[in-house]
Amino acid sequence: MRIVCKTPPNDNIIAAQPIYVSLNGVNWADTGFTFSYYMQPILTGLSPKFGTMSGGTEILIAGLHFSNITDPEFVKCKFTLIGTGRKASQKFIPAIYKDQQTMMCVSPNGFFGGEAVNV
Amino acid sequence: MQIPGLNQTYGGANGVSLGEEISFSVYNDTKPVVAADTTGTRRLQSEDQADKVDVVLNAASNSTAPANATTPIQAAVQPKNATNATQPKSNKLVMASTAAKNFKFTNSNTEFKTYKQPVVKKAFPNMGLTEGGTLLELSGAWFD
Repeated sequence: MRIVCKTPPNDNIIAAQPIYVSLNGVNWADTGFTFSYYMQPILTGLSPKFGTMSGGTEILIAGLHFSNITDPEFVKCKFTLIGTGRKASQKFIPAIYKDQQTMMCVSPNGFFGGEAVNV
Repeated sequence: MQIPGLNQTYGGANGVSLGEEISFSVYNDTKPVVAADTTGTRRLQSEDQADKVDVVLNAASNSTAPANATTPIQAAVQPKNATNATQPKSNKLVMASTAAKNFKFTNSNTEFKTYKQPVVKKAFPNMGLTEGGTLLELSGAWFD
């Protein structure tokens, strides 16, 4: 069984908010779970813009509002092949938090020389 | 008179006025809606105070009802011109427990349903944008 609800706006990006549920609007039960808020990151650039076909290149992503309170399990870079008729599956690589302006991802393999990917 | 809190239950709004007779059901929970005084009658000084009244029940109904059971509890509001011994002198309102047998009760067809405390086993995701609008899914039991 499940309940689905939309989270309300909240500017508090420091403290996790406890989640309560109620079936009658009067009595509230603490679920023991919390929900954290983060600001929408703004990406401004990445470097380097080239890497080896075998992957393993550390790509530094510059931007604003990066957060380390988000769960690393779900913070990833997505690499999507563009500009070619070849079909290649998207690749998801964990993103490492450096600071509020920098994240880092390691490039995957599986793309051919000369191919461009969207990050 | 509006009984406090009952408009926030499954039973919907529940209102009575002077001179009406009502009955309703309550649930057995860790926080029963039972006044400390569980016997006898509770008297109000005027209709203006009616929304502050506590529901007065007998002790048996408060302690032995099984979970998820609706326990019929009856209360009565006396008419203004009633002449029995418990009637106050002027515009007074009396709610009585089931122990008071000198009242006539009628069914209000209002239910107060019981439920078990919901248990949440998983909440996903555990983060979202400050703008809100993230669909938060809670998985568990006793949600209905």
